Amino acid sequence: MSTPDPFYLRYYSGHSGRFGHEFLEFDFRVVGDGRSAVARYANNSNYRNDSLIRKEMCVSSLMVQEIKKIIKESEIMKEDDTKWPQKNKDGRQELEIRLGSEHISFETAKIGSLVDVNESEDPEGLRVFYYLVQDLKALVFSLISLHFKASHASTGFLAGFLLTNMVDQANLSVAITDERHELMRSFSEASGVS
Amino acid sequence: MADTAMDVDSPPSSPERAQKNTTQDDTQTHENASAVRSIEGWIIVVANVHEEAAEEDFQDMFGEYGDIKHIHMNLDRRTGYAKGYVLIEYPTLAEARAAIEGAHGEKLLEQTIGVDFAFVRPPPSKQAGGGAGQGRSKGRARSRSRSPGVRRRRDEDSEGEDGEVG
Repeated sequence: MSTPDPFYLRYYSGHSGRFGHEFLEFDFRVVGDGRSAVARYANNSNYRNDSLIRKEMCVSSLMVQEIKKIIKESEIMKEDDTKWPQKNKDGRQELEIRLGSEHISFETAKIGSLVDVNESEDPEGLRVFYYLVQDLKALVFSLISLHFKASHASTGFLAGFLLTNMVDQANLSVAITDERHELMRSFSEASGVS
Repeated sequence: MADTAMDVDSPPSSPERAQKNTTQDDTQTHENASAVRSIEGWIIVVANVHEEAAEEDFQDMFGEYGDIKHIHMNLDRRTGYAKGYVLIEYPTLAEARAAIEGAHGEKLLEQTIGVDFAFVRPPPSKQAGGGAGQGRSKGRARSRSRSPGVRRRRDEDSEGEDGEVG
């Protein structure tokens, strides 16, 4: 195949609050011949003295192609964040993508639900962002779950989603946070990466 | 399924040994990268999946190649249909290899699927090249402090000789 397009993807969602700076971040950076990519994932919660969780993995060319396809099909590269809600005290989201000659770097507030999307000044554009971010998170959680987590039952995977929601929306119930806590503990035990 | 299991060169309980017994070619991806094992087995990715595909389609098709431990078939959050990729875990490299060789380029619901390992070893050249943002001053500082150390000794030696001469 021909020389692959330059590709970089980064997503960040975080806020500073009662438990310090809590965030979730992941990125994909092509390496070597530009076909495979190193994916990094970080999740920091200071709730109950939880510490920073970091994961790093290298995904294959076919995986990279699939991520590029998801981005292209979403048409996010045609969007513009000027009319999106500004970041606020509840935190912010960032999405940076370099794909071929195109580059986007968006920043917006956290989005609780589709209501926030529909009430914004650019519902069509923000909807593209909203769904793309969910699809990318699902992909990253599947990759991490399969690569690092021992005996990852489907319930553990569900907890992974709850975890994302927790980071997205600062105020969720303690029950969910407990689940996250358990999930993260098993992550740390599984890989020993600090 | 039993036939495939018999082709496997080691018992499923010892994936580590299976890994050692197999040649390097078995871990090679279509793009000549080297696949790595995940915590509980080998993960393959199925790409270009038809949006109407269901998880059972993959149980049926990929169960032929081995004992599937996990399948992640994520759905498009907007449409609810298949997103387009599926991740499958097999306990052994031999099973993953068989699935890649057997199913890559095959048709599933009229669409040609691509199948390969999902995780690979990072290319070794990267470290030396020091790509974007990689060239930390730390590394440079260390090599700098190291080489003068070596040289100083030589210098001292030569200086010593010089000194003796002078």
